[in-house]
Amino acid sequence: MNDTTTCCETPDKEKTAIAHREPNPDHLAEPTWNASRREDGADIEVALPGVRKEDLKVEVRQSRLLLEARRSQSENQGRLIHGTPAPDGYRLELRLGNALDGASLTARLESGLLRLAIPLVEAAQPKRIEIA
Amino acid sequence: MILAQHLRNSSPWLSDFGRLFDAALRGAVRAPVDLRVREDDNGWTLEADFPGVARDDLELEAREGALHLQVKGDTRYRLPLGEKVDLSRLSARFEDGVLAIRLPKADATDSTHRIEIH
Repeated sequence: MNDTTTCCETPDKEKTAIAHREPNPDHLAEPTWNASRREDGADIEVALPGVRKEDLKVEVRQSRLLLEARRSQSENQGRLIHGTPAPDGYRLELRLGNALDGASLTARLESGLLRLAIPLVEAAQPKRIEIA
Repeated sequence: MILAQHLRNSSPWLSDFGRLFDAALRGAVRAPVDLRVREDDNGWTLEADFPGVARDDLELEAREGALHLQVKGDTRYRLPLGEKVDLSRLSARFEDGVLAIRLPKADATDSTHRIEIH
């Protein structure tokens, strides 16, 4: 994700500027997620409603998966008369087990649901043993 | 919960609507469903999150003074809207897993009939 550094500088600066002006920082909620094991890896589903692909950042550093997303705000800014406001975005940090190959992670965002597929490291892959 | 006057007598539908969204999401991800209702001078906007649901799996209809929503073969839910909503001008948008339904206020002059006194 190093190649996205340039594009991410502007929002970061904006965020800093806002943080100086506003007493409350952006409200980043922990998204709902669940993980399931496959024979050759793990699948993680993360609910990110209102998030577009360009507003999502997924990074793997050592054995940590970091996810940060900004949520598009509704055009209608009328008075909220029921419910709680949607968060400004989402932030999630997960520790990946040593058997998982975070560098080979694949991600797909569709209709506000992110699907991550993380394969097992080569050494942990199931081996089929041919019986002669 | 502070509800505007026009919603007070119909507040049960809000909780019914919330249950609907809960049921819809149970299959995908265990996400608490949060229905948001905003009001401005011209009407109301209902907004709810449906992460992972395809647009074609949502069916929305306005008939007999109510909003009907069905999510992928789930139970059909009915949301009575009352006379303050102009049913002929409803619109809905589904983007990035967020459903937004616009309920324009009925023009007050439409339902007011002046009675001539002869």
